[in-house]
Amino acid sequence: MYSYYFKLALLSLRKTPLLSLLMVTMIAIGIGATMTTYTVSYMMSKDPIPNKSAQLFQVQLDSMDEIYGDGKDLPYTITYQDTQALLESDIPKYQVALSAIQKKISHENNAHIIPKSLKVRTTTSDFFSMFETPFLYGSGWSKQDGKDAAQVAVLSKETNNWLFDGENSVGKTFRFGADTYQVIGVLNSWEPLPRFYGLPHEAYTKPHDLFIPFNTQIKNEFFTDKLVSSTCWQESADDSFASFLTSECMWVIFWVELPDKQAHDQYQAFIDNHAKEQQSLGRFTNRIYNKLVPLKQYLIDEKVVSDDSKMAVWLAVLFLIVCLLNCMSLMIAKFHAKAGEVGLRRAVGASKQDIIKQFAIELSVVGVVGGLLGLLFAQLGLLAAKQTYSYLHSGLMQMNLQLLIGTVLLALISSLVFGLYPIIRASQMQPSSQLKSL
Amino acid sequence: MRDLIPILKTLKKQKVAPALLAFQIAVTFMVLVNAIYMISERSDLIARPVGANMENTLIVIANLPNEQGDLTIQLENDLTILKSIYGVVNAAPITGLPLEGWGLYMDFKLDPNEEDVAYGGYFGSNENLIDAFGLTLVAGENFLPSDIQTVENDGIFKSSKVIITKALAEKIFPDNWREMLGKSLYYHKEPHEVIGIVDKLQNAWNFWSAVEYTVISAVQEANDTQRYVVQVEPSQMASVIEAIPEKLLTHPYKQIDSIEALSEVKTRSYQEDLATNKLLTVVCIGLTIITIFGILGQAKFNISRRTKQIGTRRALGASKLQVIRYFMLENAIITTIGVFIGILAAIILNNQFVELLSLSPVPANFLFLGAIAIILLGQIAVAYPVSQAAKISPAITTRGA
Repeated sequence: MYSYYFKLALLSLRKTPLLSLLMVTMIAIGIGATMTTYTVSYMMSKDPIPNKSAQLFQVQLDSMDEIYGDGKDLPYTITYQDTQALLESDIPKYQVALSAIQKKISHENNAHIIPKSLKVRTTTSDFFSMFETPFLYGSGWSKQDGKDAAQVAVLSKETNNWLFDGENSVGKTFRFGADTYQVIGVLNSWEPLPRFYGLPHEAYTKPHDLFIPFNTQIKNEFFTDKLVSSTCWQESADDSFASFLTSECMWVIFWVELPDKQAHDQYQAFIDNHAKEQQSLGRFTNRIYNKLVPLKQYLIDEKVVSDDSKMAVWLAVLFLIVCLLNCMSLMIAKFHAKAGEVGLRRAVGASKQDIIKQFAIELSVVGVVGGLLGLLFAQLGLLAAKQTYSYLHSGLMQMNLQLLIGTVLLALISSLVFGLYPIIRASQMQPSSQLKSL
Repeated sequence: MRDLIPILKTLKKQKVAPALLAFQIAVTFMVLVNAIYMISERSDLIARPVGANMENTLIVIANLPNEQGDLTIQLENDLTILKSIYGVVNAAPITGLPLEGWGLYMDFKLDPNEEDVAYGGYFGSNENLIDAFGLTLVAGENFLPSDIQTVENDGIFKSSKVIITKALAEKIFPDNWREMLGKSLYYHKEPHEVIGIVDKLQNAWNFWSAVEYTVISAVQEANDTQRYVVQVEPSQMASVIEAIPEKLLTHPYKQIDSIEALSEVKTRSYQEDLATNKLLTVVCIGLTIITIFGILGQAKFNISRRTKQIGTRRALGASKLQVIRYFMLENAIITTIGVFIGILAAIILNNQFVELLSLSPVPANFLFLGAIAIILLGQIAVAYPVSQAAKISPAITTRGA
């Protein structure tokens, strides 16, 4: 029975090729636009590290002397002296302090490799375990190396390709500014989206090109103000780096992994306690107000998903509705033209349900074809988006399997929903009214 | 107008198809009006002048390596080199860049014991900055070389002379901005005498309400990431860009992070807005085309269904013009209903819309112009099928069913 309706549907679509094409195109354009913008927005708001996002918290401390902002928010950075104190704790499973610098990187003796000024992530040894970075060669540095400010580095795959031709470079050395650093590990492709751990406005850019221990930055007095968000509300004692470190400048991003509620509460008590101790030393004069911000909350607070992308989705949905309304008009026209056929079928015994089934199948065909074509349009749209949003990570402009299936389903369902009325109307046709004229 | 009653009667009888079209027009109208308004708002934001000479200002970011000894001497060296390059008018160091997205900001007071009077962005530089940016001094005077202090960090905490933007002066003294001259502006508890006022200079964040409230202090900083502003003679841009690395890279530790025109910094700063404007434009064009299709299809369907009726009217003496008028009027009515629904929806949904999409409400004149544009669009779209309808021969009535 259904295969018969399917045949009828194809026959009917072929009879009015222009109308059918128009309907399919309408659906496809609407679906294409919606899915293009939805993909970008969906990928933007995706959980970057689903298996542990509930256990990752950013530490925010109110070490200032007056209320910051509206009183509820805090800077997402903390001072170096607090960083030192927090790193002493053994409550978190992992804890990561991070900052960034820019350095001129070059090969030791191959003059053909032109030196580049690269972004360097400075961080503590837990970084690689906490954020589950995949390693191609070697590993991260040890806790001891981190403490000793060893001159070691983990390279991104791209940097390794550039500097060492993609070979296993563990143990090899390269020029880092004026010094020589040793490669200890090479990451495989690793592009968390959004790149939640760094500065919010960099969330859709690639991770930095290499990683060195946080203490190595401190020991060598490296600092690149442009790559750091720092809140300085009090002048440091003098111009030296040492007094910058002991100043009230907040510039270190600090993450902890707390596996359960107990660890969370324990750690909250620990940082509050730290604040109280500092208060007795004359710091934290404003109040005791320390926050452990869950990763997902942090992404919302810092507006990592841009309003523009949300707006684009809404516009595209309205666009789809216009396309579907248009399609609905076409369906009414189409079914109206088929009134004679319906009348005849009803007269020779087809029930209303039969008519509904027949037309629903015809519409499903239109919907699925529209969806598939829409998928193609969406891919073209994403290609265009890659050009337009060249400053965003290209990973945002890719559909995953759910989105691919979702696209076709959306086309099918929306065309059926909008086809419901025309179909029912057609099925209500009185056989007699059509038979009269025959 | 005699057609009005029969049209309304037909619409009443055949409600669904016209209702769909009206609804479609309502949605189109809402989206178009909002999108065009957003585009124009963004374009206005992007069009705001930075205050500097955009054609001939070059930004150089280089390092002052600790390995090379005293940073202040290195800074003076770099500036001497930059100024000596053929085609360079002037060069100055600066602590941040307009629209860079990174910068320093602070609260201002007129009296250290009273409330803040404003907040704004900060640049520390020297007496050459006005020339290096090509700024216009509208009151007071420039720094003297003797006013300039040099530090390695934290210039914001030093007491110094400052030049501010007119916008900031107007914010503090709305009635007479010249009053700001000679007064002290307090930030970070130190006084800063305002000796000059420049017409405009945007600070670091384009989205910030205080982007035009800028302070230039007479404190230049010499540090690891050193920014220079270079004013170049017209048409010498390319040769200066080429000459800078040759001249500035004097030793192995020296590195240049970037050399680019200030206009590039600005474009990068607005890249999101520019991209969104592109997207909105595509949506507008797409919607317009789809809606024209809708109107066309609807008209064709109507006419084909009423071929006989039209023929009868013609046979009974209606002129071609009357047939055309009938369908044009019908379309105008449906479109107007659609626009009306659109305006109503816009008013009712405005608050939710504004909140949900963080849009600003569309002003009334936009709604009005949008309404006229959509009605015209409908008339144009319907023109072709209607001209076909007028060609229907009266003889068609004589043919059998």
